[in-house]
Amino acid sequence: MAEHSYRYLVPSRADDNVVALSTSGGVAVARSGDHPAFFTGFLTRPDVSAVALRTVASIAATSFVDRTRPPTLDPVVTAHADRLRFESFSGCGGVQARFDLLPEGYDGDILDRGTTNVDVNEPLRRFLTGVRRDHTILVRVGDAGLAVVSPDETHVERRVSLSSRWLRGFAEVQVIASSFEPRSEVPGAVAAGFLQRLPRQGSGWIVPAGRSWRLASRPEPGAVFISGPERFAVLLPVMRYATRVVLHGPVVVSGASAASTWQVDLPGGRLLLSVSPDPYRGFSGEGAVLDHLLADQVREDADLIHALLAFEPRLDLDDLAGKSGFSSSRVRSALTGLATAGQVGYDVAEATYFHRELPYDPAAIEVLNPRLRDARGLVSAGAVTRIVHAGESVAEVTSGDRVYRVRRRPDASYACTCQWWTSHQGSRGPCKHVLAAKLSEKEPE
Amino acid sequence: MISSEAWSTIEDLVRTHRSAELKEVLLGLDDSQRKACVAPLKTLSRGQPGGPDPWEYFGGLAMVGAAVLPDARSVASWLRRFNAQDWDRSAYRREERSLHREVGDILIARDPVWLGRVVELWGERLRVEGEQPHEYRLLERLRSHADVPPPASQGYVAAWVMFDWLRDWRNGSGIDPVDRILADPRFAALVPIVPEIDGLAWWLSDMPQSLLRVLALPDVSRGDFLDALLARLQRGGRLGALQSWAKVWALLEPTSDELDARVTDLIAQLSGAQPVVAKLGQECLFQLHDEGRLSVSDLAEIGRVLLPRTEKNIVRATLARLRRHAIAHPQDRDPIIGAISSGLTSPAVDLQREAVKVLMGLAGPTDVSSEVRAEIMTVAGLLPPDLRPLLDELLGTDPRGIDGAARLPELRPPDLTAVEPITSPNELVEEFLLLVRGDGNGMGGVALERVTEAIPRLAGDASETGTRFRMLANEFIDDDRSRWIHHLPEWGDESVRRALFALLAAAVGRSLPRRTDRYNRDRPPQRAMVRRLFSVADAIAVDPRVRSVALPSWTNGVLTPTELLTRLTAAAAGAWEPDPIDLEQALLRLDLTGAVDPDPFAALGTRAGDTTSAWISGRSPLQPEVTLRRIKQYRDPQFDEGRHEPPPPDTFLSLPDITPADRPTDDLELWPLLTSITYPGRGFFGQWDPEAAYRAWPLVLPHHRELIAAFLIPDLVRGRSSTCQADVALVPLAEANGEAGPAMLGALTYALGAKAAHNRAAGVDALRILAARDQLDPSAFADVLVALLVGRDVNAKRLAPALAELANGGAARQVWHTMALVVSKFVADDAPTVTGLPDLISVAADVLLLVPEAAIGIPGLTRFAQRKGATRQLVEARRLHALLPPE
Repeated sequence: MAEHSYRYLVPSRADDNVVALSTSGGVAVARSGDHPAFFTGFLTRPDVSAVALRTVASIAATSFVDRTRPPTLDPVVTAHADRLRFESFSGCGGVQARFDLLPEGYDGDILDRGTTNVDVNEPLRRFLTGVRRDHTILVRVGDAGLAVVSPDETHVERRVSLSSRWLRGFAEVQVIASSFEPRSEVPGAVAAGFLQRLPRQGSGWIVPAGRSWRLASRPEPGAVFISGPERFAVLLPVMRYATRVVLHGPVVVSGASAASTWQVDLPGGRLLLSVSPDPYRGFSGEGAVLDHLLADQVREDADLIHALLAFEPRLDLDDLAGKSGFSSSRVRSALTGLATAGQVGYDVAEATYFHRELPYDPAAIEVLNPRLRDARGLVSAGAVTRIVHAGESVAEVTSGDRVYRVRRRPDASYACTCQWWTSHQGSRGPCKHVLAAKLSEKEPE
Repeated sequence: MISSEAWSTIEDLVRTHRSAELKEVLLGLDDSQRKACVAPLKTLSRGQPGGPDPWEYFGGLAMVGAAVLPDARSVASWLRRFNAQDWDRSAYRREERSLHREVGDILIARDPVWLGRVVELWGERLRVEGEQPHEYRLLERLRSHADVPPPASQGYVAAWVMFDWLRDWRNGSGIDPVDRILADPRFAALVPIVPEIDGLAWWLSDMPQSLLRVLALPDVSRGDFLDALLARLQRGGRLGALQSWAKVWALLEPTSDELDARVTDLIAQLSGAQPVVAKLGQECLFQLHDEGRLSVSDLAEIGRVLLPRTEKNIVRATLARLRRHAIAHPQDRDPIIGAISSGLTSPAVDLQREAVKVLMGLAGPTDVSSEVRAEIMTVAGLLPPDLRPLLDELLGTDPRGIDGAARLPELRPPDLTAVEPITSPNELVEEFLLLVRGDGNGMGGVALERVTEAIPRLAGDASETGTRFRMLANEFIDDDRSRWIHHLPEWGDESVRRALFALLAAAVGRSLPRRTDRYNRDRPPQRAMVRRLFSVADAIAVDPRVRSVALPSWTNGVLTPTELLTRLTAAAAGAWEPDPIDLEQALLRLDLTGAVDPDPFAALGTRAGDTTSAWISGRSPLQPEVTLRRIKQYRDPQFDEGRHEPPPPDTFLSLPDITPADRPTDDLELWPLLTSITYPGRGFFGQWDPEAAYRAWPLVLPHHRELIAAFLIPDLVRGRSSTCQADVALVPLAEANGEAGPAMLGALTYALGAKAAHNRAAGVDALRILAARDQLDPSAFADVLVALLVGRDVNAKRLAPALAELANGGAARQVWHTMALVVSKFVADDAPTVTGLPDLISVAADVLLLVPEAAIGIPGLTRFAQRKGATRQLVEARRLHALLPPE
């Protein structure tokens, strides 16, 4: 478990009409430093933005599984040319929240582009609870006025344990969300009523029903799976402002559980809540990135594409293809590779990647995938033998004193005889034996 | 350097638990000796293969680590690993020595400069849950010696509260927290951390004396504690913890000044919180309002947050408060009316109606600003069509033009797919593992049938495919991890899983121990599945050429005559006869709709062919009659101080009864089993079988839904008070064939009235399938609903929203016709009383608004609606009556 230090020049503070968010670490395009300054301006709907920010901050301070309060990992803010995105991840690793402050939500200037942490402390959170529509709130992200303070002088330092689970989850959710499609939508007030009625426990599929949704026991057209509905209660404070709620998820054909994203459109912005398939399943174990980490070429492509990025809010595949000389599909694979390293995020609302770099070591994300590490170990130990029987390719993977059989199915998916695969049937990504089989397929005979 | 002899002495003392001598040796070590001990200590702590478990001498390891490890981080993590909690369980328990004291003595005697850092690091990692008094005492002793601030960690604070604040409960051990803070005011800073620890909530709410005394100290900030408590309540979470924290808040009796300083926090806790928290916030804020300390903007904000909530008492109190304020302060009407308009978004029609009434009573068209009027217009579209015209006068326009129309999803019959046999040995192994490693309740019927059919076929295959499968099967049976299979009979396990193992073993010429005396404990469909699997296994053991012939053609369990003929022809050609029970299962699945010719079967000249021909020719068993009747429930005897209480009055429940037809069925094994249901003589009690493959049950009798439903009901009944697992059978059952009569509709009604949302959802989904297949008879459904409502077998308050979901899910017409019949039963002059009638009538009106063209008169409703009074059931009846054409 790595340790991360937040170093803020001063704590974030809120006075009568000024919210100054202190920054720590990260990347900025124009002016690098430990305390980048990204934004100064007024909020057009301060009441809405305040409650959305509070929701993002509360997710960072919440664990939906443990009874203890996790160490608070401060929200990450990304400044694009036209918007700010605030992101956080729950302590349990199963919920990601993002608030996009869109151009119509502010009247001010983006000073720089980049990504950093922002301090959301208790006094600031309390201030945000009292913001009303008629208040005039000036927001500063990174206080340029404090630049005179010596950069070496840190007034607030807080160390937190940065678990590999948290880092992996942040990367996983982007890759998972990139396969989502908008499944159904209802007006905000209708969604608020549905959320009020939603039981606090259980699981099922949300499907369209009349003007609203209902909970179903099986997938139907437009269905989105949910589990641990108590996790959605965090949306209730913001729902009174919601103009529309869109549910995003994979197109499900079987009864398998799946993650989903709730897009809450607000005046001046939107809040997105991505939830894992089960409260006890953090995103870190979903294994969606593993296949992408297998490909050497994707990593090389990702490095090249990364050099072309400049914190765009929407990454244009054709444009990147033109600049890189890659095909669109190759660019897409490279972007997925970047997502696995936390260097791009995925916006389901606009169905596009955006550039942001997690203010943590991206290399850590790749090396902290134990299944991949173990699979590489199996391959290097010569534990994979391929056999073909009756036209069916099977890899026999010897792990410990047992042999597991990995079969490539007619639909190009894989199945294994290990207990892990039997339990999850591929819904949590490939097991180490499948990964080893795939790696061995890439090796020359 | 420490001599090897010296380390041997230490190791020997550790292994032999001689802590007093060990302590003396450790206290005599110098720095170089300590350094030399580190490596052998770590080796000792890892244990040796085949050697004793180091856990046996954790206490000694802890002492040596405390004496020799070189820095704060290593000592802290070492003591965390070999912690005091575990010492108690070790061999040291037998010695009357307190090991945490020994470790403390060693560290204090060593007195490193980094001792304070040990306290800090160890304190950060102290577990919140689990009582660890020794660990806390040792940590506190070290902290006191090092004179460092107490660690501001949840684990440390939790231990402080549990062992010092609650000392009275613990027979006086520990230090009084007031004395502690007076002696060391640094402890005061820990008090606001307390509300972050849910594990303390119940204790402090039940024994608040120490908390109240602590908060009265001048060094302790009561305000910071209140803020922290509010922050905790705002975060939400587990209901039990929130209830306890809310009780703590009430016990603190915050003053009006304290509440006034926290108005925004109190408002913030109203929206997302659990009802108990919202109610608490509401009471505090209304107290301020009573004292004139709440601004109109705050009051309006409270209304906007609370009125969309679902708790009727909270909403009604808020509406009444806003109304009173608007009447008393006419100048505030505009913002208050704007706030009341939030009530139009309520999910409950009666609350929407009350909000409309309050609006109409407060304002005319000229009393509201254009901004508020626009606000009302925005949400008026959420009102039911019959309530919208009431706002005409207020809005000065017709809001019926607002798009609030419901779009009902299309009802589509299920897409049935053909069942494909397994052809690959590797696939068969995977599917087999999925079945036997998964839980019984989740076992899929089609998967089970595919595996059952494929095992004997692939095992008997003479080609390379068969060779490979037999190799894989034998490997699996001989695997160490499969050893438990052989013990299943000893444990009395005769589940489907066990039967599959028996089938696999028989298919490769092996045998597994058997035990069949447990059959009668399972429900008949389960017993039928197990009996057939064992029977096929026995047949294969005698004749390896035997194959299963009962694989369904379609995913709903139906077998086509063509496919059965093909299989029986292959059997005739191979000169083998199908197992009789397997053949009976095939016949129970055989699709006899349309003209089926028995002659090709008879022409086979085999026993199976003759049996099938006879079955088709009309000699199949007659459909038994399934009814619902009142069965006595078993009630646990009540005890009071060891004595039996008087027996409770008998209660009854609607449960299925099966009356078999007269035709003799001597030659059948499964059918008599599947047409018999019995209840214990002392009364019925709900059951749950964790091995029951509910999802597969409908495939046992795909043409007799009533029978399978009858066997499901006793399990579904459990759903009234807890969650039940049998709901997974309802959708497959709806996709099967046969009558949907009282048992089927009874099963679905129990599901609709279940406590758990996913049970109700399964009932709705199954009813949608029946409606899509035009198999939902409103008259029969209404009869069952009325019977179960009158018998109080289901709760109308749960049933009503489930029926509304069914209607909104596309079955509005069927639900309306059903509800019209149900309402007519309960509004008649001599109607039985039923709890929750207003909810049923309200749903009937809501559903009618979805299909207004289907309106029909309800006998007796006019007289009922004309009764005097303003009870909710009369109000709802009048609303429904107004929507209907004149009788």
